[in-house]
Amino acid sequence: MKLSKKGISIAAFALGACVFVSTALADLAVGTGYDRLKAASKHTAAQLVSELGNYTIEARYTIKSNTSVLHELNSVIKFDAANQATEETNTTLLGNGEVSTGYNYRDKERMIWKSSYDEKYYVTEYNQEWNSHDRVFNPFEQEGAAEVERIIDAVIGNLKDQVQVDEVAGGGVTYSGSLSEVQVPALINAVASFGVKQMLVDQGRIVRDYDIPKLASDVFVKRVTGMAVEDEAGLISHFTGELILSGKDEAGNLNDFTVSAIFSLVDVGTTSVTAPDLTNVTVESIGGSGFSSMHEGTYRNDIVKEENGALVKIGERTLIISSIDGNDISGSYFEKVQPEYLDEYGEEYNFTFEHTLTSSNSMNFFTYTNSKGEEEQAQLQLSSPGGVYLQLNIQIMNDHSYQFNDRPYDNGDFRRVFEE
Amino acid sequence: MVGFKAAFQNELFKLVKRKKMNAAAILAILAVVIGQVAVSAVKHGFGLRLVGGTEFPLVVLSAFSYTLLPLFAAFVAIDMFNGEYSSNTMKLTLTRPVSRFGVFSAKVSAIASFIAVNLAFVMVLSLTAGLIFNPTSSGWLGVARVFLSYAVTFVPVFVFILLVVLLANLVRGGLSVFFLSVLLFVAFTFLGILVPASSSFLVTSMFDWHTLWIAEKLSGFKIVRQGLIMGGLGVMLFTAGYMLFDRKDI
Amino acid sequence: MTKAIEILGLTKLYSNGRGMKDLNLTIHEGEIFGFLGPNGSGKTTAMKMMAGLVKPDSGEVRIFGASVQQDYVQAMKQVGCMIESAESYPYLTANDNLKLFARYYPLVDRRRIDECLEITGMLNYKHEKVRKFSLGMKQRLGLAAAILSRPRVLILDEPLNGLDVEGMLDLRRLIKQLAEMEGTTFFISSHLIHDVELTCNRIGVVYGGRLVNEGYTQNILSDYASLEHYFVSEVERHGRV
Repeated sequence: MKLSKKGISIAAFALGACVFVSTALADLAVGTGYDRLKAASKHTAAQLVSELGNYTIEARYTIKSNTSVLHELNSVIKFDAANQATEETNTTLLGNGEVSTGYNYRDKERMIWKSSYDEKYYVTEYNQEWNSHDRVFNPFEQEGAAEVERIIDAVIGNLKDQVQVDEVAGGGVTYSGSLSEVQVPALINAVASFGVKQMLVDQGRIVRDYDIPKLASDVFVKRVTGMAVEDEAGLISHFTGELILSGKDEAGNLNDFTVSAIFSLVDVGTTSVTAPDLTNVTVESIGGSGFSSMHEGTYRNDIVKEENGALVKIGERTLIISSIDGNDISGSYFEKVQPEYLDEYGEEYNFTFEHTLTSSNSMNFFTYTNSKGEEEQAQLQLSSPGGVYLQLNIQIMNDHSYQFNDRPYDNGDFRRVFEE
Repeated sequence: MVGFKAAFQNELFKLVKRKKMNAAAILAILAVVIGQVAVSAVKHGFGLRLVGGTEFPLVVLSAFSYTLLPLFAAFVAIDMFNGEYSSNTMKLTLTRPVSRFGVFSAKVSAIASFIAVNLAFVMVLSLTAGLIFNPTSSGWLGVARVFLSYAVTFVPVFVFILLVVLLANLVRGGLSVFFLSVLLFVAFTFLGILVPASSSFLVTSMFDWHTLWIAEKLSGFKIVRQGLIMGGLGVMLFTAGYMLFDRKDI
Repeated sequence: MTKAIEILGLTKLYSNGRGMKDLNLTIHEGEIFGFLGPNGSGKTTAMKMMAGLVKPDSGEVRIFGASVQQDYVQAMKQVGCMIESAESYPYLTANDNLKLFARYYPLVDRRRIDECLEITGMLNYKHEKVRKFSLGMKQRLGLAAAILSRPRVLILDEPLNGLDVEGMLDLRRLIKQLAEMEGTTFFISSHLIHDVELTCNRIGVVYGGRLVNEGYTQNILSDYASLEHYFVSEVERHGRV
């Protein structure tokens, strides 16, 4: 009897171990819908970044209050890896019925854009080739992405199994999931509610003459739904996500806000990006640094000193931008200091300069000759409308760094002088 | 069977007399109150409704099942084994006409009752608090969901405690067993996060399996799988613990 | 005569060399067996094996034919014991302690608990927590717990520990009374020779983990001047071997 007692124990243990190990392994093998979706998303991201030659992404973001649309953004983005060109067309619909459009084209050599606010195409030519790495990035390969992924995995926990997987006849998979208010974890609920609430506040600022119901209290995530379609090639070709937020406004009325996003990946391999025809339209050329012919003119900077508890203007600096042609800028500069301060101030600068702007290089300087006949480096940049920054006497340390050596009482801030 | 029943009643009696229940109850009340205060603060401070009437108990459950409950159950389990070994009172039970299996299963059943009573207590408490302070549409369906969630959470907590029982019969000192249990709990939790693939083997990753039960679309297979994993693990831990207990020289 | 306790080749050796080797003994119903030996001679080990607390390396103990090792529940139904030290749950009262034990025996009721407390002189302390008890009181309560189920066999390990003179006399009277009136069989260990001589009608001497000799008190006392002489001679004889 003793033996059998031991035997029963061992048998029970073995049985338990068998059930445990085999089910756990099966569970591991089956994985979760969430894991499959994640794998497919990673695959898709990697393909989009490096493998696919060309494709189009159609996206739509909508914010709705009950049933009326507050904000809708439709975007069609075309990518052509071979020509390193992208084209983006946006249409924005606001709650007050206002519709605006935007157009943006980029290739190796230039960027062309247009908005619905004026009938002009703006063109920027690059001096250097635009770095195509900036074109699309893989969110899963960003720095810290692995850590973020783990945190998200942990927060989601057993909700991973809420992602349903359905195999579609003829290849492909459909993922779908839906969480009701009970299932949304409190943490996600809090963050999402707060985020969307803030978004609506911002939205209220953008659309001034449209009254957006404010959510004042009892804001919570009512429902989250999502759907994704994986095609035969293993690419996520379609994604729909929707978050419904419920809350009360100040009057105590219940409002539902719906934030939704739709992405579609279409025309893989058949997308071609062509530059817009600029022959019969108004074109304004803008240098990479933003300078255009409208910036031609005279700029002034007062030389102000603090003396005996009072501010004293001891002179002024004048910058005259005489011509801007594409990226070429030429002009002159002189300083005028009151004679009694000249000893203290030192030599006045007075020079002319020729400057070629480059867009993608922050180490963009021009050379001038100072009062002693020595060559020095200077930097010219746009500031707020009607202003430029001019930094003189820059000391270049190496290829990536430099140091300002300001002139006395110099803040580099020049304002445009307008003729009365 | 007389032996088991007597031993089980005795373990419960001792549990009640040792005021472990009171301490657990006070802490549980405190936890629910703090949770409710936090929820109300967020509600009035940010205007966010974190939880509805019947969701509050679920939020409490997630926090409670990961912290106080396993901690207290581990205390009780360690006290029942290591505590009695060290105070020489284990022999009082063992020299009575009851088999070691009877004693072992009586002790394990008593711990199971402790977990169940604790869960039930916190459920009633948080349900009441939730319905009073966060009155929104809840209905019987919500209450049923809460009940189901608390009921199924018993399983993973119990399986974890079987692990503590095994340790209690493996390691002599009660304090070592306690720290080892806490360490394992934390280690399992982090392992589940760092290596998601391992979570199929970790009982701590199933502490939130009640979310599966209250899902809109029940994924029955997953529930069965996790149930079998925990069942298998539970049988393993129980028999291993029993074999150690059976061989023990008092 | 009915065999109350049969011990067959009982052996348990600890890693430090202590323990009990090859103990063979048959004790008949109604006998008061004294298990005499110095500290560390293996008495407690043997008794723990008899009560099923320790698993023997080999051998077996039978109580009225039921094996402690194989059929524990059946064997222990007839046994009351107090081994190594008289412990009770310190956080419970004397009454609660006995109530816990009473649950294992369908025939033990509240009246029997009071009876046992009365017999051991503990009735006045019925509702006091054991934590406050003196060693002697704990010993008395341990005894009450042992006799609670009217066992046919009582295994008592150093039952006189901590008892005052009055307690010793009471206990001795109780043992004799139970043996005569109810035919209870006793297995009592002690290192107090004089005490064993007065209480037990059969004596076994253990030394260094072995049963050196055993015999009826009457016979021994007819051969030796006192039990002490017998003990010394047995131990010396064994020491020479």
